[in-house]
Amino acid sequence: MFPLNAWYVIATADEVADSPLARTLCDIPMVLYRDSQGQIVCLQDYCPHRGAPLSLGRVNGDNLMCGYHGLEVGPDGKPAFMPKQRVERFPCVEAYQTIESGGYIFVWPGSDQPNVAQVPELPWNQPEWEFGGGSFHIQADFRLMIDNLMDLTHENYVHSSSIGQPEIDEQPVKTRRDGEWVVTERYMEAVEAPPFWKLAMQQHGLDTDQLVDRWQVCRFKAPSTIMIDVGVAPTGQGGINAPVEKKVHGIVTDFMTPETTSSHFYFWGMARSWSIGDNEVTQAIQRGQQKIFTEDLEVLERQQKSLERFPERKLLMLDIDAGGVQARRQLQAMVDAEHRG
Amino acid sequence: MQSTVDDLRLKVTKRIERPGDVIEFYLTSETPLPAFRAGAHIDLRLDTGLVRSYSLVGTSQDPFCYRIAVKLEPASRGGSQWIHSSLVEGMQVSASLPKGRFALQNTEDSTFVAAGIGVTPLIGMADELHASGRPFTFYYLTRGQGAFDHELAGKTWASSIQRHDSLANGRFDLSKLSGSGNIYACGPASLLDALSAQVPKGRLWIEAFSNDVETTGGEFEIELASNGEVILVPEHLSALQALLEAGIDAPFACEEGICGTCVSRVLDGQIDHRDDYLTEQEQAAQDQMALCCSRGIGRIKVEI
Repeated sequence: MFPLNAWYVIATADEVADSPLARTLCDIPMVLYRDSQGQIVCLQDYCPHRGAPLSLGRVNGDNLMCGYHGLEVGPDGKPAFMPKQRVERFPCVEAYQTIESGGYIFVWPGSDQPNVAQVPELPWNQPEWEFGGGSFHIQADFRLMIDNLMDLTHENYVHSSSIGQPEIDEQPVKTRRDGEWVVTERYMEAVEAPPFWKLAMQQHGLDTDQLVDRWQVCRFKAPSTIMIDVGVAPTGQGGINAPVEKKVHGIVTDFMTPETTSSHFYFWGMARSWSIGDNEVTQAIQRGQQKIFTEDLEVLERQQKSLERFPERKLLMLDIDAGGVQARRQLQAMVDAEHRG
Repeated sequence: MQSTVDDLRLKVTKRIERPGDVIEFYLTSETPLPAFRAGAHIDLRLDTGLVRSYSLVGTSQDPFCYRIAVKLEPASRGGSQWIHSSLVEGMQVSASLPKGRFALQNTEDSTFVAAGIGVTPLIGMADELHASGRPFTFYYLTRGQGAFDHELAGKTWASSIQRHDSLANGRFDLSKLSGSGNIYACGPASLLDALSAQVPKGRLWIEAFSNDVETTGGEFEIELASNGEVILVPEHLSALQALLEAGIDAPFACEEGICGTCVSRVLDGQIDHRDDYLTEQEQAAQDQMALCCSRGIGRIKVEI
C-alpha cells in the first residue's frame, strides 16, 4: 500500500526529548527515543518478551526499558539486559535508520539499504533562508493532502480570506515532469496581492499598493515531499526571477507521512527569503499558516468520511487535478516496483 | 443503501488472463449461492474499501460459483487496477447478492449487441434464450481479439453469432440491426447513446458500463510539430500512452476523454474522435484531438 523504501518525516526533532515517543508510520507501530549521546533511535514498538509496547517504558542510558518487566532493548533492536535473564539469544525487534535534518527526524521504514542521498534537501539549512512550521495529525489518506497541495485552485474556496483570489480560477495551471519531480505551476500577472502577501510585502519594505505578479510552483517527489515556490513581485520586476530585494519569495514545505490508509501526519512550514532572523515575522507566518492549514484539515477529514460513505463512486480527474494524477502515478510506480522486488 | 455488499463471502478459486487486458475470475462459496437471472451483477467490496459492480458471466448453472470478468481501466480510485494487481487465487472477497434489472423480456425476435467487456451479462441471457428454443442474433463487437472468443466458439448457439472486429473492418454499422424485436445491448456509453437515438424506447434494453471509452484501435503515427520526430502508436496503446512511453511529457488527467487536459492541436491528418469533451463541431473541424483516447488514421501531425 505504501512505498517503504523511502525517507519519511516521523517527528520534529523537539518532539523527542527524555521520554519515548510512540508513532505509527505506514501502518508500522514505532517508538522513538534519544540515546545517551542524544542520537535518535527508532524501533518497532513491541517488547520481545510479552508484547507490550516499548513506548510505555523509559529510557535507560542507551537502551529503552520495557515498562512491564524491565527488558531493555538497545539502539540496534537487540535485547541488552533484563534482571536475572540471559538475553543474548532473545528475539530482536526491528531497528530503523534515522536522520535528523533541519529540525525534522526522517525514518526509512523499508528493508532496502537506506539511501542517504535521498533525504530531502531543506532550503533553511542554508543561511539565506529562514524557516517556521508546525504539524497536524489528520484523519485522512495522505494522498488527499497531496491532491490538495498539487491543485491550489482550492485556495479560492477554502482560503478565500487569506491567499485566495479570483485570478486563480482564471489562470490555467500547467503540469509537467522535471526528472523525479512532478511540477504544477500557475502564474498570475498584474493582480492585486491577497492579504497574506500584502503583509509580507510590508515586512520586506515593498509598496503594497502596487499590482504584483504572483506565482505558485508546486513540486512533488514521491512518496511524500512537496515544495511549493510561492511569492509575489511588483509587476515588471521579473516575477519569480525578480531580484531578492524586489520580491517576497517563500517555499511552502510539506511532508505528508502516512500513519494508516486513512490518516497521516502533516508537517508543514514555510522557508522565506525576507526578514531573515526576525522571530516576530516567523511567528506571524506560523499563525497564518496554522489558520490556513486548519481550513484544509477540516475539508480533508470530511472528504475522507464522505469517500468512505460512497465507496461505489469514482473520482473525476480534471485538468486542475493533473498534478495529483501524476503524483499518484509516481507513488503507484514506487509501490509496484517494491512488489516486483 | 449499500447494506447488502457484505452478504456474501466469496473465494477466488480461478484467475484467467483473457485478451484485451481482461481477467476472468471464478468466485466460489462452500455453501450454495443464490440463483440469479442472466444479466444480473454483484457488487464487490475491494480491500481498498471501494465498491465496484460486475456483471455475472453465464447462467446460474453452478450453485457454488459466480464468474466475473474485469477489464483494466485508467485509475480514478484504482478499482480495476487493484483487482488486476492484487486479487489473486485463494483470496476472500465480500460481495452483494446478485441484483439489477437488466434481464430478458418475453419476445420472439431478439438481438444482442455486445461491445468489448459489455459481453459479460449478455452471454447468460443468450444461453437462457437458446434454452427456451427461441432464435436470436448475437453481435459481438471488439477491437482485435475478444476476451470471450474462446467461450463463444464452444456455444451450442455459436451459429447465431455475428463477429465484428473494428480493427479489421472499421466502425460497426448500426443500421445493420434490423427486425422488430428487442435489442439487448451492453458496452460503452457512445454505442448505447447511438442505439438509443435509433431504436424505439420499448424495444431497447441496455446496461451501461461507466468509464469505458475504447482507446485502442488501428496502428498510426504521430509526427511532432516541434521537432519532426515520428512516434508509432501501436494497436494496444492510446496516443497518450505511446507518447509517455517515448518519454514525451504530454499533459493529461482523466485518461477517459472527459477533462480536456490532453487536447492538442492537430495540424495535419485525419482523426478518429473518441472523447466526450470536444463538441460535435469541434470534432468535425478535425484540427484538435484528445490524445488519451482519440486516434489518428495513417499519420497525423500534432502540435507537441
